Amino acid sequence: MKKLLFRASLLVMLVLMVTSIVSPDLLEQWASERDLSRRLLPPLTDGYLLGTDGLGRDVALRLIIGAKHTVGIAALATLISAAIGIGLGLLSALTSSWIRQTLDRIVDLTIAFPSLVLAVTLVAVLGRSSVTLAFALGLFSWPVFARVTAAQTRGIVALPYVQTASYFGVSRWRIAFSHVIPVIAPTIGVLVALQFATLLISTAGLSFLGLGPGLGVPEWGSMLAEARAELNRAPWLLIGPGVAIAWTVLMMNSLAEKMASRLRLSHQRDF
Amino acid sequence: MRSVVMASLVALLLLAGCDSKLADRQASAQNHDDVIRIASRRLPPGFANPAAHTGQPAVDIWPAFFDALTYIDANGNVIPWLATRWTQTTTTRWRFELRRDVRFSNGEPFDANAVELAVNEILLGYGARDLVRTSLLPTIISAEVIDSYTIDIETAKPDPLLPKRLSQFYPLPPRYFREVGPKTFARKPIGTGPFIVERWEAGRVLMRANPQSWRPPAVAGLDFIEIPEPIARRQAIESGQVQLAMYLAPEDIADLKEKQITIRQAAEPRLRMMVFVVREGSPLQSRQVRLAMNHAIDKDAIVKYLLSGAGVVATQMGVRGSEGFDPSLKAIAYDPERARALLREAGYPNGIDLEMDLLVVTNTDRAVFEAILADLRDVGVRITVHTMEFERWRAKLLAGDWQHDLFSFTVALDPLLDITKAWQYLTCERDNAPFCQPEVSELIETRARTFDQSERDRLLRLAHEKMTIDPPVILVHEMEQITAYRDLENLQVDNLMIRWDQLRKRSSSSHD
Amino acid sequence: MTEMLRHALRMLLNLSLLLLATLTLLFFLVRLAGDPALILSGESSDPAVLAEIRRSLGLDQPLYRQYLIFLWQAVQLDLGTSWVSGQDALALALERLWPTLTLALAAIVLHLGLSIPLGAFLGATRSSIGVIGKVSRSLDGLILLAQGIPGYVVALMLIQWFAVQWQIFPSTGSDGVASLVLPALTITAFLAPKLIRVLAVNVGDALQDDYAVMARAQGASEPTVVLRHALPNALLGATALIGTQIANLVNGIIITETIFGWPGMGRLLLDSVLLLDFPVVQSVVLVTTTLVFAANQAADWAIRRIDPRIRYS
Repeated sequence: MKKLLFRASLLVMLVLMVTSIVSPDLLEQWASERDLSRRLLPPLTDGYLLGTDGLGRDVALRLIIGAKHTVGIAALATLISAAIGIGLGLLSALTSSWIRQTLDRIVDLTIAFPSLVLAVTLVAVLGRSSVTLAFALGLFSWPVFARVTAAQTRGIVALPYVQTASYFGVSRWRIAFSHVIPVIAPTIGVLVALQFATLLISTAGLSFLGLGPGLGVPEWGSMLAEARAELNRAPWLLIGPGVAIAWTVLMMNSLAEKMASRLRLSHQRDF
Repeated sequence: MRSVVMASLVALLLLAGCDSKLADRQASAQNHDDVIRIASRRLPPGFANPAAHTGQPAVDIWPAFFDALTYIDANGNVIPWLATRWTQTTTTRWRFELRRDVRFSNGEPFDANAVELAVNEILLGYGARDLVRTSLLPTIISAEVIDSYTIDIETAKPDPLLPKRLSQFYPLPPRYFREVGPKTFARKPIGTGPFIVERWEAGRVLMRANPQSWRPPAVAGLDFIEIPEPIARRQAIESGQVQLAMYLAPEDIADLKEKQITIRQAAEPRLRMMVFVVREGSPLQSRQVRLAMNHAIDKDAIVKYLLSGAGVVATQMGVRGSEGFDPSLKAIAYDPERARALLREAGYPNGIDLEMDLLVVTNTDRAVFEAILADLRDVGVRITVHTMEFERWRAKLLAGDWQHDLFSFTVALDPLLDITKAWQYLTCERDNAPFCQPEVSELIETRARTFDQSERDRLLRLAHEKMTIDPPVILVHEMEQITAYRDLENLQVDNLMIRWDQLRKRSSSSHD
Repeated sequence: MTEMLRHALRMLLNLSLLLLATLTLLFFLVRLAGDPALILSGESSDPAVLAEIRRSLGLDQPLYRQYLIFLWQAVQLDLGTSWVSGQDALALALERLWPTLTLALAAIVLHLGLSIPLGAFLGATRSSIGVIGKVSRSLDGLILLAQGIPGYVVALMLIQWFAVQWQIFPSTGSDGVASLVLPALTITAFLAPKLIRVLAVNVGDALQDDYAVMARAQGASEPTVVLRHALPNALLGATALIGTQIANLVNGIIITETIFGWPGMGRLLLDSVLLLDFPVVQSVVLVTTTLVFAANQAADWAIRRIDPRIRYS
């Protein structure tokens, strides 16, 4: 039963996500149709599933259109963070001692650093856009990837068959690609899912604070910001974006948990 | 065990911290039963550094402890304040006579030296960020003490608005200012006004009455609390946490009235518009395109729905009550068909793509611009938006450094209610004018040097006529300022400034 | 003694490195933001004025010299004056330290006070049958759900219910204990689900360990086994979370202070960022970095005191 629910839920989410990314023109047009005289309608009135926003636009449609922005930014941020983290993690595990020491120390020092502090500053400096936001979040959240990659890689490199390969002159980077990456991929997958969930919350959070991609983009965090301004008159505006964020995060966390249990990891403790 | 002890220790510390603060507040509340608590939108980030700010948010709080030489009343007329009268000795030289019965709250007498210090040291002498000099008092070049209560002020060119300009320029106590320096002064200001700043904390300013003031107050003190969110300010007044809440959102008016809270709604001298940046090769060079964009926007709907009626559609570069405002002028009508036709005429049957620099502060700003962008898109003007922070926007405005085709501009016409204020950023005299219309600039420049009122009005009318045919901007709407209060009476607001000395607690509801 | 001294020295070195990295990053970020002179020049675009401002800020020097001067001043705790108010930037940041610490402490107390009992309960009743088991499992589901709801959404819900509808707590201001409740709850919402779930897993595991079985065999009651044996071990097992919890705490504080208008460092950071007041931004980041570092070290130290088995390299 639970399993079925999870799968159905995942499927619905995937369908919505694909719809958002493909975004047929017709859908975009519906989502931007507005009628100021029908603003702030409560859910389930006049055929509006989640009601209308401050400009009289369909909230449900805007949520679907908005998915590609919020999820897209979080995905890009995760990608940036994973790329930097995995790269540096491999570097630390496979290279000489001083690089390793420096990198390890950097990771130790920055892994517990609150990423929003610098992300906020970076967005302010570079100007507001989706790419800046993804960049700012990704740039300050890679140490987790680096630590896990380095730890796992060290374990693999110490294995007899890898040692043998190394002894026969196979280059380190060959080893990384042929022996290390395939083995650590599942673990990294779990981490990606978790990190994606975290960064999605940060993305919507920064956007909620007004540091998002800006006006007219139906990003979930900025929809929440509007909900906050209309809290007195239209508290239901919270529901749509709130549930959208919570659901996506929940899905990602569950996915991570499932992958981890298959890998016999206890993700709660290992990450 | 140890951890339990530690935890209780932490908890105790925490409670002690909160408690002492709470007790402190309760004590002060008992001592000053009639302290008025005010939910203010924002405290000036420059504290009371008189060179750092003009207009909001400084006018919301400074007049409680500072006084200027002149004052602008509710009708926009300049009246005597610390100066009793003024005359022009030449076209560029003004003589001000000062009140003789005024002292600063530290006992220093107010006299011509205080004005001289303000002009020569504050205005002309210190601080890189002297907004006051550049935006409020650009023309002043010197001040000269004639006798203790007479001072001459010299301007670089004829400036009919000088007495108005001086309404937000505050004389300072020379001895104290020189003793503590500008930094300390900003945190512990001394003025001649009805209140004395007791503490200026992060997010809070406490003041007590200055009974020796030449306009003594009717209450024991003021307690300004910074509450940035309109919704939170509304809630603070609803729950009785404060007695006065400034700058509420228009949508809240009806609800608050139901709850026995008094609302004062008044024209806020602010005008929302978007300015065209016309460059070589831009589609905006075409008069029809600019006119089409003016026709495309449903300004009535914006005012009705997004401002809940708290505003009016803009008809000219000024606002109601500004000098030279012409009530007979009409707004460019909402006519999307005509807009499309004009675009076709101009050679853009498939519409145009533009980019805009946008300053968005409040949620109302956001909603209004979203509606504008959607309206423009409907007639085929597709705009990519770049939102930015106020400071970046301001730097661009001042430097004329606009990279895109349009920028949003909400002109604050206070304190002078000077109808040509917006034009000063558009005139051809500036190096980087977004759109130079020599004919209009000439009219406005001439008007600025003209003292005769009917000639001033004629020049302005000509400029406005030209504007409706060949618009340099998209005019949107004028704003309204909403103040709510309870258990208070005699709230008088003149041109955004609250008369803090007049405000009283309502006697009938002393139990609240 | 020498070991402690060495340890302290290493800590100091680490902190200096961290601060150096942060300062360097900030220095170059600010240079990316554009010409500060333009931001500072008021309405004047007069080249002479701009040149004067650049000279007074040292912007006419070559970049490496500017950087060195910046670092040297930072070492002397001089981070310049606020571009907006002309006040000492570091002093402005430190002025907000107390409100932020108050909020942080309140949030931590609330967070631990909620998470530890709940985690212990969930862990202990994980495989119970009957009503308790049902309650436990539904709570577990709720917490799984809560883990997905961002703190700022929780904040809005709290405001809607407690401040707007029932008017129990104020949604703003820093007015005694009452105004502390909603912000502290919000921060708890950022932190608690994770800790509760980890504790539950740990307590559940610990209850199956040999010594738990032993204790039961010796006649200890189930609550005693949980409180005496399982929970302490579960807590020690959760210490690996401390770093991320501290980071999340700070992230949560930034957002929470802004939502509730709490006059702390988080709001100062956002305000200053929006005003492009970089000396103040730098000061806040510097103070925050130091605090986070100190909090992590303190946690480390405490853990080692409690459990001498844990030795860090």
